Amino acid sequence: MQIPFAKTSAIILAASSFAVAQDVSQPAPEAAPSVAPSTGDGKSNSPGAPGEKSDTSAALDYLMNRKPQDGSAGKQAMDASKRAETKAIAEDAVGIPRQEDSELRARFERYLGTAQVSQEQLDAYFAKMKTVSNLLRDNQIFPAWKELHDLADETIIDAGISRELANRVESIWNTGRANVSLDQKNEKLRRDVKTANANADMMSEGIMDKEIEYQRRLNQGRRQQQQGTQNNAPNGGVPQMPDGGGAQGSVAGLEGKLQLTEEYLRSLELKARIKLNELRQEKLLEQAKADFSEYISTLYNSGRLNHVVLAADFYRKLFQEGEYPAAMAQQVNASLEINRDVQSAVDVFRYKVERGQLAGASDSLQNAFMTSELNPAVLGLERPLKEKVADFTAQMDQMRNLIEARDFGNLEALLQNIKKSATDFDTTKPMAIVNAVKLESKMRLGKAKLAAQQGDLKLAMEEFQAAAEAWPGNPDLEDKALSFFDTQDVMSQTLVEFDRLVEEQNYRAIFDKQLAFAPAVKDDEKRREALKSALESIKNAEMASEKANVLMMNGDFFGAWETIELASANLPDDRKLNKLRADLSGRSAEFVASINKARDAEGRNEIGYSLTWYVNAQRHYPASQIANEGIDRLSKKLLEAKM
Amino acid sequence: MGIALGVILLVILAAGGFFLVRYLNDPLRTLEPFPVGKYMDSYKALAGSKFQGNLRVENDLGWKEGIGRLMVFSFRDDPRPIVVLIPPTLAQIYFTKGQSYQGELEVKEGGLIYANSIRKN
Repeated sequence: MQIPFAKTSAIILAASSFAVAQDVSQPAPEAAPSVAPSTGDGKSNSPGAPGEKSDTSAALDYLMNRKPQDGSAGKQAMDASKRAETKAIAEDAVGIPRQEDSELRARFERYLGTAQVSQEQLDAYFAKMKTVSNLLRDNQIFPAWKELHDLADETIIDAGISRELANRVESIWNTGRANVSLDQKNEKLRRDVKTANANADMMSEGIMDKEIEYQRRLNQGRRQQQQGTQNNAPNGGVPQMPDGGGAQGSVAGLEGKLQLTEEYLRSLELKARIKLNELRQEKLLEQAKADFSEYISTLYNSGRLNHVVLAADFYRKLFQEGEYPAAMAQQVNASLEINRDVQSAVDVFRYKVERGQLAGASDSLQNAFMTSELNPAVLGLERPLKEKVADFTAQMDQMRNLIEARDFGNLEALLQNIKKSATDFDTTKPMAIVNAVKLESKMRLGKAKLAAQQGDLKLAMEEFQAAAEAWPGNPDLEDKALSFFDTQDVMSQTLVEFDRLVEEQNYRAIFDKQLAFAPAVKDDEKRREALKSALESIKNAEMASEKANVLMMNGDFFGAWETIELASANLPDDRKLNKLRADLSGRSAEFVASINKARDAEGRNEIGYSLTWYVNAQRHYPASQIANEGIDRLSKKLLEAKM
Repeated sequence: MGIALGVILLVILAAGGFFLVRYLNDPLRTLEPFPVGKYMDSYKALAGSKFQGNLRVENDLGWKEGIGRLMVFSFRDDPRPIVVLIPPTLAQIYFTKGQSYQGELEVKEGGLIYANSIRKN
């Protein structure tokens, strides 16, 4: 499969950007895991330059294997993503979707807190509305219009919408008055047209008479000219102008024609003005209709469904139309449907509240309110009923907050309360989430504990953090974390003390604190061996002490001293042994002196002298191990040295 | 009677002479008794000196051919035992615990007591 270069580049660029967003002090890993198969000779099959491969691998490693560092853009993005995820989980767990529009949500909450409109007020208001409808049905538009002002006085229910509707109706009437004015103008224009036409007719008759007269004179002049030609008048054959009023008659005819034309043009102009006025009237009417339709749409969109029906009735009567426009008809029908649905929703609400099913009741009421908050059924809903929904909604919000804050301890108690008040609320999902997160937190804690026991402090810390993030209120968290940190602190101090005591060869102190040291050194073989050796020494010393005590009780002070002396060889600084040895030395002075002199002489390589003292010591205590060993050792040395 | 007295006197004189000659010929006669106390305090003052001692066999610590036998003796007047090396030249003596011997003792280097001669009492 071929990877498009553009996509590959984009991935690498994004990865590089992400890497840059990390803490710059964090170097990119040198050896990133490679997915390219090896040829077996240590070389990769991956195409491309080695440097390129390394960069890509590093980027992929950053993307896949690294967590963003604190304070980096990547970390912030991850935190934001986590918050969004937590929010989504909370929403999913609650199961009842929250109104996203904060303004609507605020309005609904305000509605839940407000007192209901009394049934008397509602009845009175809708009776007036019915009156308006009836008046319109009877074509009594003006009384209906007047009734709108009365409706508007019911401000709690109406909020002045009826007055606004009345104003709109009045505006339509004003448009009608403008049309009447235009009608009057057109009437006058028509009269002017008639006058102009009459004038033109009269002028036309005068012109026609003059034209006839002019033709008659012209014909008479021609006849006289023909007679003069026959008289051979000396004018070279040039035709002569008719005598008398020929020229005068021609000018008068022209003047009459111009006046006629002027009247004719005036008539055309008036007709054009009439047409223009008619167009204006038509436009005004269409504009009025459009404005009113738009207003009805506004009423519909704002949920004033009763006013939609009322306004539509006004529209039909004002514009004298048998039917609504299609869009308006849809709005009217939808309003009626919605009113019925809202009424049904409120009925369902009442029923569910009665049965303690507050989840469903809350949903029904919210739907009813969002659909038509001015519906009488919604407005007239009793306050105590609404308060139940308000309480339930508050509990839902609290539940969301608790889930988002991962306060599962209090969430469980809240769920129990909700279950009591809202029997239809399904706690399965939130409880599943609670249990899952609790389990996760507990498992993380267990993992942290195991890691701590295995000495993997880094993993332990990560698991502690993960457990805390999963369930910050986990009661075990504090105890376990504190004990962990205390243990770590104690363990650290214990190891330091252990090392010091080993260096001082203070095995007695190690023996006394063996219970504290044992867990601390169990993973350190060297320390473990040191502890074992120390405990072995003390065990021998203790056995020697016990043996010495028994010998003392039997009066064998030499034997007791020698036992302690031999044990002291391994623990020269042990206070207990030294004290016991000092006590016994006083009771075994001769024997002890002999042993000491023998040892001193042996130390000086005075073999014969030393041997004599060992023999003397043996005389005091024939069973003496030190003396017998000394005699044996030095005898051999003497006899062998002479060879 | 007179003869008898003379014989008796002669015997006495002969015996006395014998013992006198023997006494005068005893090499240990001029040696000081071994000072056990001084030795035990510090052998160094006695190093190189020769002493005579009446010894009582206490123990046998071992024998090595060419070196001798290490014996533990005690003195008649001091019960503290001392270790004496019997040279190979005197190895023919068979020591038994409790027997008494008289010998010439010499303190050598390292405090080792060496028996130059020894004879049974």
